[in-house]
Amino acid sequence: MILETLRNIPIGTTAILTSLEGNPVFIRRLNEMGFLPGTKFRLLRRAPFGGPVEVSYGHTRIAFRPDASVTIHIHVLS
Amino acid sequence: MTINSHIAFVGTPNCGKTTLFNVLTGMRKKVGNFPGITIEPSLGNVSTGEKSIAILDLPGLYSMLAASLDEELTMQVLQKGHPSIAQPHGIVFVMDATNIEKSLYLYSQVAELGIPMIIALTMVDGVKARSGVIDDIAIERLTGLSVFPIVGHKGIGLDALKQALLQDREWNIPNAPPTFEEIRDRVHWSRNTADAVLTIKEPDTVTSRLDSILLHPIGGILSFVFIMAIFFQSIFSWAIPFMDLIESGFSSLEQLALQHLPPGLFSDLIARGLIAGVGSVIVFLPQIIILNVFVVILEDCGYLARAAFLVDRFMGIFGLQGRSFIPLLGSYACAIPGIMSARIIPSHRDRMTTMLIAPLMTCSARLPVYTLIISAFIPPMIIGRFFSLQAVILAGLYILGGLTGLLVAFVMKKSMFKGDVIPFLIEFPPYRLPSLKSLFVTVSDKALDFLKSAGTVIVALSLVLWFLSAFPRMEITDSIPEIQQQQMQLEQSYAGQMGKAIAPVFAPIGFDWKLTIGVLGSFAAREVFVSVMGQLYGADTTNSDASLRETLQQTIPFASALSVLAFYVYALQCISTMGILKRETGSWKWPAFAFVYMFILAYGFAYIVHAIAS
Repeated sequence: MILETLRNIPIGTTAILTSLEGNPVFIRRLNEMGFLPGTKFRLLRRAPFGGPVEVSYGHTRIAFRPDASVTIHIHVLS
Repeated sequence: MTINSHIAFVGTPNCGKTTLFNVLTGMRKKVGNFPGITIEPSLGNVSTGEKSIAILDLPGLYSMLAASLDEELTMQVLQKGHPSIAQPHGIVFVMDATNIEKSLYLYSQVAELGIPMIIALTMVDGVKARSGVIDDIAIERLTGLSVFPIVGHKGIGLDALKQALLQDREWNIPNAPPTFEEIRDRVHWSRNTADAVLTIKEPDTVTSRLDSILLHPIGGILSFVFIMAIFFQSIFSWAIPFMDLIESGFSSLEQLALQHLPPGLFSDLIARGLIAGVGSVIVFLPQIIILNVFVVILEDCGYLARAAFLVDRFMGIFGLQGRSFIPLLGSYACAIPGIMSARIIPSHRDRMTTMLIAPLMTCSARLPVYTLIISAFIPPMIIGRFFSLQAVILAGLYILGGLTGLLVAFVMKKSMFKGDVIPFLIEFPPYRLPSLKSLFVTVSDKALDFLKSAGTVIVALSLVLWFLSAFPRMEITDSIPEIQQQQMQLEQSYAGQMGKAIAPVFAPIGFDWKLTIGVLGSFAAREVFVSVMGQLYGADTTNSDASLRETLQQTIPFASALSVLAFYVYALQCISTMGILKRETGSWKWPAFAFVYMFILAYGFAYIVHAIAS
């Protein structure tokens, strides 16, 4: 089992979200949009120059800025 | 105005709620006064024959746990009513068929309110296009509510929905949703329910193909630059012929009034006060219309969310989010449409910061001042074999304005607007064709709103400025040429007296009383500086600035000329911008604040430039 963060996995990786820590309002909103621990998702792309990331899960595609206020732990599948 | 009996449209962002609202109601009006909140709910009417019903369009939201001031407002109205908007007696829940999971999540919270509801099921065509099926009967069974599927572009289902709106006293109260302990449980419920009512067989290939170009690391940036170039070109150049037409129309009207009315105070009031004042408002319309058409199309087709994604990193350096880019770029043409378009920014703090720095972007009204001073004082030499020194200085002034604005944003976000609730988080809607009717409604609504609320302020302030420069009246001797009459009138008017009185304030930055009056006069609009200078130096500027350039060269010291340039980079010399800032922030506090901080910047920078140059 490999624990990684969103920052250093290649584009196209499928992974499972294991935990979200930090900014409670941000985490709540991510959860409300269905991005919860246990969600299987794919990293679709990163904006240029280290900008926001886009992930897809189910029928949803969201983009967000993985800034310093949250720590996102994931388990890489492929 | 207080709204008492109405139904509300509620839905997630991008669910097609506002388009549906526009198509159903046509013209609308603003409601309520919400200090500090710039995205306002709007009110429209649906009527057939004898009955008419008021409909409220609330900002879209994902959840009843607010993460922003705008969401808080929506929640307050729905839960217990707001001081200026009562709780609605019915809700039209707008459910996006292509994004049913998030719609159901919000629905499960709104249903808990126990307010009678119906459901408008939008984007049904989007499901069909992907060989999918949405089971509206199952949604009816689940919720106990009437469901009205809508195919937006063809207008199918609109009539049935309209009929149902008019029978608003017969709606059902939704079946009690299950009680959820945690967010996770609610998410799972909406996910399972979504799977039960919606099957989509094919992925949205149009959207994913377009995104593989428009969000590509290189292709995405190139297409972004291309789209922004067209956007900038359209407000900067394409609007000019219309603006020229309006300006020449109003100036001939002014001439006509001066010729046909008996000469004297009254004709001067009508011509130079009223007609010129109204003209100074109408002249902004082409830019406001063009910019809003662009912004609405980009927003409705889904590109704006992508553009925000692409530039978020860059704007993030200065504490802003991606969407601030559009209002700031627009402000390079004119801060007024730019500030109005800041409504596309979802975060309140970012919206305020963006509006407050927008006047620092080098708007087109600064250009006449820059070109006059540069052509009079900067030698037309070539540096580095290729660049003209005049052009380099002009470009430098443009860049300086933008960079300073971003730095000020950085400081504001670190101090007065710090602590954003959530960082950039956005859902990419599928690409869609915008509805033309909705586009028309939104743009004409913005234009009328500008004329009504900002326009009245601008006309009133123009009349005040006219009064200050026309009084006290001077004895006119007919033997003096008209251009000198104007010069003498201006010099001993209240504005002239004020200029002379406060000239000592501007003395440290090298302004004499004439330059001071020019600065005061340009509050009507920055480019007025040129004509005021023309009047004060007795030069005829109607055809060319050449004679004025020569006069200025001989009478103004070099250091003072540079100081004028420096001052105009920063100073908020525009009552129209202050009027629109008041309109958009709901208080005079913010335009006053912007004026003061920009004045300090302008004065400080001019002082330094003047000291170095002399």
